[in-house]
Amino acid sequence: MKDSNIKIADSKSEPQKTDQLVIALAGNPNAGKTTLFNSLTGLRQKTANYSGVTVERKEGNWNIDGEDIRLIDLPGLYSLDATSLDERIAREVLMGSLDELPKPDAIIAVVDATNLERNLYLVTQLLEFGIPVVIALTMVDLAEKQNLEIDVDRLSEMLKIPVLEVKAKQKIGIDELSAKVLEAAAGAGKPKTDWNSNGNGFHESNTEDIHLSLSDNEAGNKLIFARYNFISEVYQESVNPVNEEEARFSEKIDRVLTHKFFGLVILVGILLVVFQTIFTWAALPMDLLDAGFGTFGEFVGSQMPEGILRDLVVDGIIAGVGGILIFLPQILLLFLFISILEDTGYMARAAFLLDKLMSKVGLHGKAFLPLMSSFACAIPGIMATRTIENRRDRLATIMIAPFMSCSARLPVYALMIATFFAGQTVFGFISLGAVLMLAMYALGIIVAVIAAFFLKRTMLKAPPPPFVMELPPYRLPNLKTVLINMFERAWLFIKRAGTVILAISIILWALMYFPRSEEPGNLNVQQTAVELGEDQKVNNQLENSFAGILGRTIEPVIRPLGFDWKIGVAIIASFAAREVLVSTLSIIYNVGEDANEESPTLMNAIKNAKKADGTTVWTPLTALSLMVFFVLAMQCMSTLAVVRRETNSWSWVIFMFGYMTVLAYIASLVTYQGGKLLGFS
Amino acid sequence: MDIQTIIVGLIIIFAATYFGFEIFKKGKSFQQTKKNCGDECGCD
Repeated sequence: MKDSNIKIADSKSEPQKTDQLVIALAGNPNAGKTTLFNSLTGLRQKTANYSGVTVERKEGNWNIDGEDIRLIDLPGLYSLDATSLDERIAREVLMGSLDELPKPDAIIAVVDATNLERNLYLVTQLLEFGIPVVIALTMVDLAEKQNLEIDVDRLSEMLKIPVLEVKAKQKIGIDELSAKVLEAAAGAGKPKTDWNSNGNGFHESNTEDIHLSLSDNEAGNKLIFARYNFISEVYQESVNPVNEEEARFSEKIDRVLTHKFFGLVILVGILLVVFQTIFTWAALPMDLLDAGFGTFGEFVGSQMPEGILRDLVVDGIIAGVGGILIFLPQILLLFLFISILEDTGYMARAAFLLDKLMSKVGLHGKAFLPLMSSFACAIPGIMATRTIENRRDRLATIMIAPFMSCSARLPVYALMIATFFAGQTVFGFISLGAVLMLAMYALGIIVAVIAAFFLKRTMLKAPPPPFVMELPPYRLPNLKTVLINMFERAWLFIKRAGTVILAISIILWALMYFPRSEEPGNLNVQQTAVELGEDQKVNNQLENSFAGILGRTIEPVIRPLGFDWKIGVAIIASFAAREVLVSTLSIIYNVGEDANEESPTLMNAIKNAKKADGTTVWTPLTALSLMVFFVLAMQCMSTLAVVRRETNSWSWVIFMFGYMTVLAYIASLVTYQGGKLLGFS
Repeated sequence: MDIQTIIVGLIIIFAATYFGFEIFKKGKSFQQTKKNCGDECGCD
């Protein structure tokens, strides 16, 4: 029986072929595919989705001797068995059954020389598609260090396709690869290369047969054995292990870095160093940006005529968006370190360490990747759960993904830490800020694990299937890949500040500005304050605005957490998106600013904010309570929208919002009241 | 109603519509998006 999810190429539906050559880049994850793609296309890349699905389609222009070639970067794959969405999409691209993409003229198979056998499995499947294949053999130097000597000519001879050693970082082998790819593409349409011509117990006559065999266990198994037999033969003929006795470098390091105790200690140490460095290095550029936005606001304010429009631009837009943008240096540094850790192969070790913990609470091993992605943003994390086949395992992962501290929480943590804990140390040398930051990340992980434990034993009971995780060899990070990753993230942060955050800032400003408590002509907030010689009028305005009414309504509920109604307004606003808390506080405290006074920073405004009785609104304990609330609360409309879409149910959305927010409230209450009982302020 | 108030009113309406559209888009139609949300919540 044919797998209904797999479309067989149909000449009628096939997209119109243009003169431009289309080359697909395929390979296992961590084989060096992205590095090669970046090297071939430079910045001439664009990213989109495959129609109807959330699998990323990355493509770029590869210029060979003046000819522009469309290079399609397929998702990282171990096989084309179509068990995951990525594999199914890759298969459809190669069959030319997608409307938006013509069938490729040739395939570059990126093969990691250090994992040749595993990588060749995908190659045998690629060959079955009848598209010319050229192998780009990467990490040959690493293979040599592992005492594996690869006879490239013999490998090429046995596979009957060109095999080229490539060092993408140094641009070595790129010219030869270009020539062979053009040559191979020119031969498209010729009979396909048959890896199985010598007979390995199974023979396929065409691609469709292979797809048919997928649902036929006996035939399918026979084919898999045939592939492995062939690969084993190729490997034995073309690879000569020089000295098997010598322990490999990666393995030696792994004995320490993946050790169940020392591994965790090192992981915590690395994260502490990363956070400490982020705070230290980002301080100066953040101060400069802060001062810059302050000056810019004053300049714009002095140039525009008084009135509601000036108030919107200065107090709403510049204060709101500027308040977020000053955290750009920290975002850049955070992703710089994440990229370096990923590129060196250390992130996979961290995954391995935490995977042990997750499997103990019943989470699927495949849950790790979605959860790791959620540290950047829960949305890709939740979408990445599609790789988990079991619905209950998938739901459990979706339900805990937003506990991972995403980059939107970073400005909130950073603001609180910089305002109340800057310059303090633990043991005399570790920054208290770095410790608190690490504690917030750890709190999210711990609560996620506990939540998963309960979910997997109650509502979502199911035994976790076995999972094998691969640890890539250690390597030096590629500067270009690291920088591209970092700037992509930074650009998304800026774009978000200029779109969604801008829109929310405008709405919030309006909610704080209207209704006007008194409208004597064209009077603006600052003018009123100056005339009265007090900020009283401004406070009255805020208090009686729509946002103020809302804040005062919830004040009795949030007072036990240490929050006043102004913080309440900011918390309500942050349910749209977490970082909006910073924009809202910027707008709230900017509104009370005297026009002639030197612009105070948000941090000073927060520190100096007073209640009606003259006591300070904010204390270090308030800040800690707020941070804990932000670790656990479900404050992101976009995430809820995606959960609705992925679970196809409002019940799960309501459950997620409810249980996370209740947990956040309880944890924040315990933090604040517990802290007070212990004598902290 | 002066011109400034009208402009501000229009800006607020546009911002609210844009925000509503963003949320609707996230929940409804990923296939129409130009960019996969692989990195940041706000990407479209």
